[in-house]
Amino acid sequence: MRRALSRSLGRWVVLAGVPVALVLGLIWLSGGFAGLLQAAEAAQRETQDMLARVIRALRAGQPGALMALLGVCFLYGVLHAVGPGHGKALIGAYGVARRVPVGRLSLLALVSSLAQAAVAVVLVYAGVAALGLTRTAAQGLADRVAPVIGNAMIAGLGLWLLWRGLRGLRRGRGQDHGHGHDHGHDHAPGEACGCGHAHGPSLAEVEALRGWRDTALLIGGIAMRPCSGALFLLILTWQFGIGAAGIAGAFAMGLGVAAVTAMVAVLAVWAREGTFAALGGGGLVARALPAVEALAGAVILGVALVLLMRAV
Amino acid sequence: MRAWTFAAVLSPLLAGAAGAHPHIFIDTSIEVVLDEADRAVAVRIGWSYDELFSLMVIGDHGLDPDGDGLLLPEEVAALSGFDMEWQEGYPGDSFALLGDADLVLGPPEDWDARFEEGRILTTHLRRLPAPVEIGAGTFFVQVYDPGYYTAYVIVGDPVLTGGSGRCLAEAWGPDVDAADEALKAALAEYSADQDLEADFPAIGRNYAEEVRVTCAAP
Repeated sequence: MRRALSRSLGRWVVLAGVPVALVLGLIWLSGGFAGLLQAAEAAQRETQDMLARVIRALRAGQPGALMALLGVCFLYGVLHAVGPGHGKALIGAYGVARRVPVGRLSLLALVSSLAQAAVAVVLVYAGVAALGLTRTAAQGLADRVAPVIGNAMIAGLGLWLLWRGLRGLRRGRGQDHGHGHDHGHDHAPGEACGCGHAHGPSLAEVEALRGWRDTALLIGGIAMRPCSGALFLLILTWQFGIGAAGIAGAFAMGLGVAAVTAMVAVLAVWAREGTFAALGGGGLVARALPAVEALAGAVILGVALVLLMRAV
Repeated sequence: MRAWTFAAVLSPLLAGAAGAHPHIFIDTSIEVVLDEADRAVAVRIGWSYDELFSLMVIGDHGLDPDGDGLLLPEEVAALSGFDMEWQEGYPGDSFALLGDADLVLGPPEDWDARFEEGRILTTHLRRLPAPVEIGAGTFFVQVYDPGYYTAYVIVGDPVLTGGSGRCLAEAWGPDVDAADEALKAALAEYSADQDLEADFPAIGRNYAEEVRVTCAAP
């Protein structure tokens, strides 16, 4: 009795993910978060001035300035991630599209944010320090060239999900027909079985490969859009001869961004699992999954292409 | 049904992908210059940059080598004009209107730069090609970056210079509700074959802060 109760409670908690995500999404869409965004912008401005002050303090060699810098950078990352952002959107969409465990998706959020910081470090030190580009030229590179590569990778991810979803749908339909003559699994050559266990790599290998490709595209897509704030910080600290502190600060910003992105990851998984629970599990879920994947892939692809065209 | 649930969850997430947030914050002061007939002849714009951007400009120019946060008078003089090399077609993020009609503002001139408490402050003057009769209408000065890379906020009271004393200048915040409605209306009409870049509503303008100058009837 108690077990049944707790199970149904658990089911309701899972189900609640759908309306929560829907309501949050609709509020965002209708501009209901404008107040929140305005507050975030005011706070961004405050942190920007604080950042300048701790950089000056660090340059003057004041004690405790490094810890202050890391703290301000983390806050800066959190505040920038609260605003409309691209990494967050991608992680969320991917979490809805693929049945990724919440832990793995959160880890993905963390790794991609840190990779974003790493790209900023490489851009600044390769471009400004080694090639002698001016700040404006390096920023231009970061603002124009890197997003083109990043958006192309995201378009690739969208295409990949769409293709996988469509294949899954076709396979699902094939299986439905197969049930008509039960166990009539007679592997005619050329039949669109799609199980792939006879030819080519094993299913586990394919799964692993898909996971690896998805992950690389997702991380790359996010990482290739370095945050201007991190670039500002890195160039400034390099100019002032306190480059190591700047690099540490850039990664602290990445951690701040990851804190917010990981929350979006949790929300996305919650919404997805809730929807599957609402569909009642079983065969319906199996059929819904590829449709969801294809749809999410198409949306990601569309948005990436629009962004790509705008960037070019 | 299922598809719509996911579309509804996805679209706001991805709508955010197209958004941007500002990286430079500028406190703006505005002075409107009138002639003796209460016609607008020029606007003087003051920009006070945030401390991080100010620090970057100082770094770019190799100023303040001892890092004490203070600039020598000749270093401040070297700053003058650093933000006045405008590319062809750059509107200067300041816009003048008479009622609904856009007005032309001339190129920047007569600029200067100061440095106070970690912030660089600059001013410049932009003339109207011909004096603008305000009459019973309203003369607007709006400040915004159409790309929203820079966030402009009007600080202090706007100043009126010259004129008969019958005119009044007031600073106004954006009408956020009206701007939200305009954005929603534009999004509702949006269709897939539109050029997002060209047709997207001028969000910057709708959300801009502005100074309004009105003159009482003589």
